[in-house]
Amino acid sequence: MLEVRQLTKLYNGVPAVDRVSFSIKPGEILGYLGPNGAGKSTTVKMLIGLLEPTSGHIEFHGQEIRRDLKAYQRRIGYVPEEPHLYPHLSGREYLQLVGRLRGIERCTLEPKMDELLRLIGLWEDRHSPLAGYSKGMRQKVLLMASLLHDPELLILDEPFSGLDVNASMILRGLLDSLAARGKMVLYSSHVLEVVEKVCNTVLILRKGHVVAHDSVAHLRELMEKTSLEGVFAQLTQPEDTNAVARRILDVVSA
Amino acid sequence: MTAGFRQWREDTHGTAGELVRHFLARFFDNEMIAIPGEWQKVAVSLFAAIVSVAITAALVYRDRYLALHDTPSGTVSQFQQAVRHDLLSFIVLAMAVTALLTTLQWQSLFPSLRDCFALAALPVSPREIFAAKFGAVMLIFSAFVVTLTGMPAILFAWIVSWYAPGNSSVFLYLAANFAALAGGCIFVFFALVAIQGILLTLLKPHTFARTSTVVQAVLFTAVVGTLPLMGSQPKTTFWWPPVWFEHLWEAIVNGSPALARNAMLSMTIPAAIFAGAYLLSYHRYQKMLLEAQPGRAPTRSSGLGAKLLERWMADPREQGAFAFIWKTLFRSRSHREAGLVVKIG
Repeated sequence: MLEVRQLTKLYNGVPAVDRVSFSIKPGEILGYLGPNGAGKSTTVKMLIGLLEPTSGHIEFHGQEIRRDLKAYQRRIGYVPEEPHLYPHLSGREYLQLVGRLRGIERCTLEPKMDELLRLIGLWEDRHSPLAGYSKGMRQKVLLMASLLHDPELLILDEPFSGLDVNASMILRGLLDSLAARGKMVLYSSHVLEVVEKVCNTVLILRKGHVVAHDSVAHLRELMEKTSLEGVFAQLTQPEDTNAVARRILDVVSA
Repeated sequence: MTAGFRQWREDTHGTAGELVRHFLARFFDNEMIAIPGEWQKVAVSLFAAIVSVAITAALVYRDRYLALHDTPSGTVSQFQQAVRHDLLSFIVLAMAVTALLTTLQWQSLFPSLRDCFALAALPVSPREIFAAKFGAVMLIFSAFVVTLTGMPAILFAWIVSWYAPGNSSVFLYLAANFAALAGGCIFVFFALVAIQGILLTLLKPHTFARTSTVVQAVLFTAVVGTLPLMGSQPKTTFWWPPVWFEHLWEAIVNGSPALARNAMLSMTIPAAIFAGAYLLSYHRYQKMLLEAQPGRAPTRSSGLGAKLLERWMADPREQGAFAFIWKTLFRSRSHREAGLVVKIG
């Protein structure tokens, strides 16, 4: 189980994430939502060990992750929001690098990698440099890289970004199957339609604070809304969106 | 055997080995020196250029030492004096080339933000990333030193031992030449990276990037500025670093270890400072990369610039193109460095 308690990150004294707490149990998919700048990516960076929290605790199976960060990182998979890849590497070379750094033996890694490349439709482009890949193709490579070592916890930051309809359907099915196998998934996004279909529970963040943390159905019921979008809008957007849209039109036509 | 080596190369060799291999391959992938992914061509061209220059120089020096050898009034001390002067020129040249390349590659000596993000969530610690980058830099530097100094050391040893009066071992000259030339390169390299290490340790994270670029430009300009003075460098002055390595050469050839003291100290002290600074600062450096402050809002002077631009160019399309080019030149690191060099020059 992943347990986050009172997690806080300050940048120059300003809180980007403020006393956030949640947990993910095996087989659970947690939707981590919030508008731009709410602190989602900062939380994710702390969860993967890239950023050090200012205060608070992240425990994986009861063990503080910072005590043995490498052991924890061996058990997680991560898909970043921005594909920071080495443009001169090919898709296959990138998977090879990730697999090797995860300590997977060549005899296991090579066939696994090739099979995954075939399954996600990148076989023809496997030797092309990543610089020439479309956003969706890069996203597919990152997804496969995050799954190579069969992780226990999968941390996904906007994983559907750039994916075509087919690939999105495959990913949705994959997430369901991973949860059915007892894997934990943290799914950070602001695409609410997908979150609503995929996640068991959601956590909504606003300006670094948790404003809601419950199951989708319970939140809808509680807020008397028919969709997650309505719940989200009520919790995170105090301003009148229609008024803003009208003002934009005024500026454009001026 | 080739198949066996290929299989060994393809195998997984632990985190450190894989990271060093990765950084080694990435080192030459720089749009300034090569088409991405084609570093082998750059390395081969560089090697060929050095070999060609060394062979041409060897022919010239062979004639010079043949003339000295055949001069009836020539003494042993005159011959040795000529060898020392030529060696000093080689040392200065090797040090200048090392300084130029090190300052040009200044920003590639530490892991980049891309490295931090691309290797995020993998079971690799910042210490391992830094150590691997350092290992790759050291391997590249060793290969560079051998390539730059190996051929001149061999050819010069062969020529000098051939024409030197009395019995002279070619291997002794070879060892002395190589030690003096490589020592000069090692001193320059570690002295420059030690400066970067000290800046990294002492400066606040947000001032490091700016100061580092300025220091890089100052060093580059200083090296380029001293190149025309190469023929008139001091030949015996104790504070002139190439003289320390010329003394190292003498210490090996004449068997007098006391002469090697300055050279040995100049190689070990900067290396120790660099290693210390690296160990102290790697964690801080990664934090600096990841938690960099957001860009500042434009100042009042940029508004003035816009007004001047409006007066100068009426067409908004021309204004747009000019502003785009100006901002690209101003904000890209390589252009900023070039601009700084021009300003300092």
